[in-house]
Formats: sequence, C-alpha cells, structure tokens
Amino acid sequence: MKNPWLAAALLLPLLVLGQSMWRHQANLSAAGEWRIPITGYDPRDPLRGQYIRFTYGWELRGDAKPCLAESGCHLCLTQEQGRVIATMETPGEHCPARLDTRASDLRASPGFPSGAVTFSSRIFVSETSAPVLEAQLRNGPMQVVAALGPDQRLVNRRIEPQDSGG
Amino acid sequence: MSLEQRLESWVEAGLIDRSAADRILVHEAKDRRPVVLWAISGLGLLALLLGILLLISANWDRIADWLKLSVHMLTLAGAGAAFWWARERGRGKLADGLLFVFAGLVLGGIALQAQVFQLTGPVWQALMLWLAIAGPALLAGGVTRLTGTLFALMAIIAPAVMATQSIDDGGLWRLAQGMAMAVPALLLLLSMQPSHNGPGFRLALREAGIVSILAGASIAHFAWASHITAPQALDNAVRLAPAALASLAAFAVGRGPASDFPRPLLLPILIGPVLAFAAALALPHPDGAASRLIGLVLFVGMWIAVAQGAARVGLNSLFAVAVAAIAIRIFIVYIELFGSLAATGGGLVAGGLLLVGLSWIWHRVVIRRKAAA
Repeated sequence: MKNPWLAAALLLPLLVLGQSMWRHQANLSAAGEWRIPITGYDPRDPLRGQYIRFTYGWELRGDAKPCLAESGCHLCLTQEQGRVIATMETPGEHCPARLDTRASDLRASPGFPSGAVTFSSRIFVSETSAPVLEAQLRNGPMQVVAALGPDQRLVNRRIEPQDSGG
Repeated sequence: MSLEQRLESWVEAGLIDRSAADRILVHEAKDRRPVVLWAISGLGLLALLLGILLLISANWDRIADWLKLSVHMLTLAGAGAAFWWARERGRGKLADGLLFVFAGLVLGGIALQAQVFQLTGPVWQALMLWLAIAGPALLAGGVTRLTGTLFALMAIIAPAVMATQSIDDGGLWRLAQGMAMAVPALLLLLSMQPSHNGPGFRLALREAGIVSILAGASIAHFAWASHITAPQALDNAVRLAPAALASLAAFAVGRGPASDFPRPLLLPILIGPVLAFAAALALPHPDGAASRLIGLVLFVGMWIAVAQGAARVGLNSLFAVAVAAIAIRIFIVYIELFGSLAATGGGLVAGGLLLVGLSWIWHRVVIRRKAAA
C-alpha cells in the first residue's frame, strides 16, 4: 500500500531535476551569444572559491540609477559597429535582447563619474585552466562569451582574449 | 582500563572466581569487533573517495556539462533503484544508507545545475527545494536514525535559513517565519505515533524536535534584555501563531491513546516553550532589571518543568541538560547583577546557594531512581 507513495517520492527528485535541466537547456539553446569586453577583474580569491569576478565593459546608455536598487532593472543589449551597448529599458520600446539584472545576478555599483553605474558578475574557473587564464587576464584585453536567452538571464559561458574572434 | 584488567581486579578483590572471569572473556570475545581494522580500512576508503572527488574537481571545466549532468542523473536513478532493491530484500540498514546517499545526491544535483546554468539566488531557496523534493522520499522510506536525523536537519535548517534571511520582510513573510518556528512541534507530532518508519527514525525526529524547541525558547529568552515595542510584539505574535497551533496539535495528538510520547513531557516540551516565547517576544516590555528578573524566573520555571518531566519518565540525559541550563542561567545572574561589591556578593551568595540546592535535588533524584531500580 505504501509502495506507490514511495515510488512516487523517489521519482519526484528525478522529475523535478530533469524538468529543470530541460528547461534551462532549452533556454540556452534559444539564447543569442554575446561577446562583451570585460575590465576590472579580481584575481581569484581562494576563500570565495575559484571564481573570477569582472566588470562588463559595455557602453551604458540612460539613467541606470534604478539598477542600484535590490529589485534590479532591465537593460536592452544591442550592437553598434562591434561595440556592445546596454540601454536602460524604455517602456513600450521593442527590445530583442532584454536582460534582467536581478535574474542574471549582476551586481550594480555606483561608478565614476557621479551617476555612472557599473555591472559586475563572476565565472567559475577550474584549477587546471586558471593559470593560463590568469596570464591572459594580465596580458591583454579580455571578453566574456555569454548567452542571453528568452528568460532574460545573461549566463557567462567562458572568458577569452578579445582577439579570439566573434 | 581494559576488560582483562578489570576482570583481574575483580578476581583479586574476591568478587568473582577465575573460572567466571575466563567465561566472561570467552563470551565477550564472540562480540568483539576489529575496530582498529575497520578504522584503517574506513580511512583508506575515505581517502580514495576524496581523491576521486579532487581529481574530478581539478578537471571540472574540462568535463562537458552534458556529461556532468547525465552522470549525475544516472547516479541518482541508480541510488534510487539500489535503495528499492535493498528494501525489497529486507536489507533495512543497507536500504537506509542508500536512501541517505539518494537524498545527498539530490542536493548535489541542485548545486550542479546552479553551477552549470549559472543559477543564483538565496541559499534558502536551494535548501527548501531540497526539502521539498528529497524530503518525501526520506519520510516515505526512512527507517533508521540515519535518515531520520537527515530529514529532521533538512526540515529544521531550510526554513530556519529562510526565516533568518527574510527577517526584515513583513507581510506574509511573518507567517512563513512562523511556519519555520512550527517545525520542531511538527517533528514531534510526526514522532508520536507508530508508523511505517522504524523506531530509530521516529526517535531521531523526536530528539531533534525536543532539542530545537527548547533551544529556540532558550534563545528567545535573550529578548528580555531588549526593549520590545508594541509593533515588534505584534509582529512576533503573528510569527508565533503557526508555532502555537502546531504545538497545540502535537499536544492533542500526544494525549491520544495511540501516542507513545511520554505524557509528563507533553506540557513542558509543547506548551512551556510557547508560553516562554510569547512572554519574551510577543509582549511589549522595556529593558530593565524587572524585565530581566521576570525573564530569569520564566526561564528557570520552563527548565524546572522540563527537569521534572524528564525525572518522572527516567530521561537522565534530558534531566541533566535541564539542570545544566538552570545552572548556567543562574551563573549568568552574577554578571547581570554586577554592580557594587554588596550587590555582586549578594548575587554570588544567592546564586551559589541555588546551585548547591540544585545539585542536592539532582543527587536525590538519581539516588531515588537507583533505589527504585
């Protein structure tokens, strides 16, 4: 009598994790790829795990102060002559690549000059690939290859030198 | 002192003769387990497991995401199937161990997906998801103390982290925080009646429920050293409502004929802490000597009730904890009353007398129990 419940209870995690995997994978499959220059990266901090934190080097347009609030904001990503432009979303305006800063866990900080806002994020780097990447970060301009899907989450996939193409 | 040495001293003291000592040694040798051998092989297996984990970690980003996710899902399904197989063949302990691994792999899967898909959010969301999707399997299939303890920890920690991280949020969050406070009473409720879960599983829930409910009420006691305003008291009253309802439900079930929860502990464990919490946090009071004194009396009263109940049902460890809690609280009075030499001296004399009296009562209870046995 109890076995059907037990079988259902055992299947539950498999179904939930499987569905979550399928949903995120489907989102990534439909995502557009963006190559965004990065600056101001921190060296790896062993206390915080093997992550590299960096600042997006896109050109920000519009008043981004609302992004400093905990609720975050929406940015519209476009490309102009090879440069990535992040524009504060205007209600009613069509945006093909909409980015939710909160869902993407972007950290917004007041920048310089007064009124400017910078956005930082992080990416996991394993022990084996870390030395090469650290050397590249020291030697030349880098960019992050990120996927922006229909769920408006910007997912960092890898970091590479800016002359790697794209 | 080893068993051989003890037996030798008993033979020398004339308590037992040589042949009895030899027979005891033979009997004990049958049950003797090669603990050192087990410890060394256990250490070896641990090193092997850690080594494999570190090798995988070092090459983590060289392994394709689909491979990581697929291997994890297959391992999870394998652990579930192995649990089912062991359970069907009546190998209870093995099945419980595999269920424990299954639940651990569910948490690993949540973390893995968070890393692969760069998912972020408060920790409590991941812990609550773990509780929601792995908890039912533990509850439906857990038998021993191992899975019981894991389920109890999941049920306490995930809502507690959620409540702590949302403590500044009002509205319905207060009820969610209240649900987190209700968990210990709900664990006790689950432990009260015989079920398909083994006695070890139920005992683990009961112990976790008792420890967390008494610890929670004792921590709430610190509020007597703060100024609780009327709005704060109202907020806390809303938070207390779900916990009070859960405690009342557990109290009602505990009084029922099917319950094996010790009756003398029902009031001290289920009602006393709720009243102590309500007095400390749901009633406005200033931070003053009178408030602190009332808090002291309520704290000691709550623990005396626990000690009395524990003594009546013969729970020596709970009785000892209750006496220790009272002793520590009385000792803290010294610091609270630290003022003039006379006040400190008076506090030390009163507290010292109370501690001596407490030790005497403890001694009497232990002697009486030994005499009854």
